[in-house]
Amino acid sequence: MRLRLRSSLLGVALLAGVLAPIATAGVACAASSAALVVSTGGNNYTYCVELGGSSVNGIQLIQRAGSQHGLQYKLGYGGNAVCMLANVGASGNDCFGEHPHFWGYWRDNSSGGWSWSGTGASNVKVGAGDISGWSWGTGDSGSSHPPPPATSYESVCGAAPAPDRKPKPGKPKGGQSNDTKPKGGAGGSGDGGGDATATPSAPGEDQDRTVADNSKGGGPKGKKPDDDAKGQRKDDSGDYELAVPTASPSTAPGAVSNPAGATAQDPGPPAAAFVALGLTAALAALGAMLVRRRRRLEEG
Amino acid sequence: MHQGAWLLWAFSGGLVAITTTNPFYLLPLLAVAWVVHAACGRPGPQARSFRIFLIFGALTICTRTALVLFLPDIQLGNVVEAAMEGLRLAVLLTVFGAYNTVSDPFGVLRLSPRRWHEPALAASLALSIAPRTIAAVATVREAQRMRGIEIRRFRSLPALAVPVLETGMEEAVMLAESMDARGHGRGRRTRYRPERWGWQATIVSVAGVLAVGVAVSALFGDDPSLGLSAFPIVWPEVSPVMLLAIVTLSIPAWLPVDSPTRKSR
Repeated sequence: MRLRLRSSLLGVALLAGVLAPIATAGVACAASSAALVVSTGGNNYTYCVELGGSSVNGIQLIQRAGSQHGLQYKLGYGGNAVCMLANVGASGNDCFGEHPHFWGYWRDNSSGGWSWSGTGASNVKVGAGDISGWSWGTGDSGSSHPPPPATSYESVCGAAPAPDRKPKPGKPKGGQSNDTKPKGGAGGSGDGGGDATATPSAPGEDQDRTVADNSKGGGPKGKKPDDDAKGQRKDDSGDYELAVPTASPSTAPGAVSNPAGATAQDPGPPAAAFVALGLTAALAALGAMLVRRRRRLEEG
Repeated sequence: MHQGAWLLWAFSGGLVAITTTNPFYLLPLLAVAWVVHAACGRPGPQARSFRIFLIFGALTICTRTALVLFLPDIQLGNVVEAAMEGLRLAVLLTVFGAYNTVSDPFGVLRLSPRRWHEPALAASLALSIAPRTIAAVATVREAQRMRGIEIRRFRSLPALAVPVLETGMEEAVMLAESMDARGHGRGRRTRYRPERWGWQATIVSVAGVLAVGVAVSALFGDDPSLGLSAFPIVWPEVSPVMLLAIVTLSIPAWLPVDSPTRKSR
């Protein structure tokens, strides 16, 4: 019996070993990007998200924006519904806990406007050059829910979608613009990322260029039509310095319009978790002791 | 201890287990089941049912996790969530396994109330089928070994299954006859040596009710620590009250044993 227990444990370990690489295997190839607009009602955040050569669904786009740009999010219902974006939304496990307010999903239509997505974000394919928008508000249909502000792909990602560009040292792509009016310290964090959210116009390419990174990019000089943020450059770089260490190191962080600060996403297990594990260990040890004592009594 | 108290204990443990997928609640509960099994488990062939349920629990985790492979796109969050749901089922099974080793399967049958005789009989038969089958397997195997029948892993399965099923049938028929003979279901029945509800049973029941109360109020209070946020994966919160409620369930292990059924054995 003990042998069988051991072999079944071995089975668990083997299965875990097989599943882990499948689960974590990232898609890392030629870059292409899609634009993501998050409109909390008061603030708008835009993210140029690298898709890594493959098409993703609307939920994965948010996850990538999270890992590439530190967008804070929380999903529910098996990862199919959006509970919270940029610290706005339901904080519990019920994504519609704030109903009638909820995150509406919009997609760009051919005429440069928004159309209400009739299907869930997890069933929507997002490809290079697409724009996805999330807006916080009431209303169950496209006619009553407020759409995000009109956004063009170029205003978010800088250049037309350019798949399969060679990586260039020079300018990381993913210029990230923040096309809202200054809102004065959006979100809770007073410094760092909080300021970045409030910068009035696009950090744009220039500022990105200050960081040598090897992700794919547009032209070497990066002069873009919407690049009117020269005056902001200094401030933005300062923000950038603050926010960089917290962003994911493996991806080229575009600039950082990072709602509520790009704080580390995972603060580590809470202290009570260690208490729980300690209790588990203590009880398990006690049980083992009892079993051993009983066995000794039976034998003796 | 009174069989009813054990029933309540198992019910509470199972209910707490199914309210949560937080591993920091489930693992202590698993340890609680283990400690109660270790402290109060009755000697005899059904003692191995804990281990068997533990193995089934491990298989459950594997199966639930493997189901992720059918998803259109597999993310780490899906795998973690599936594994935690598997762990929840495994803990539920383990609690039931511990219950099987500490309770007396035929004592449970005796608990069935007179009024709702038939459903209660069916329920108590279903509750005790696992330990009774495990005990029957052990008996048959021992008999085979004594007769020099070689026990190979899979070959011996038919030779094992037939007598085990037969034993189950015989037991059921015997039980029905004996209950009939005692006037069960006719409204008049005297209990032979009724079990005593001692103070231990009261304490265990109170602990069980408290634990269920905490878990259910957390469930309806939308306590975020019960669930696991797997998209993205973040460490779940752990509420000390809930943890305390779970540890309270280990109380049968701390109480002195002096139940009449135990002494008579």
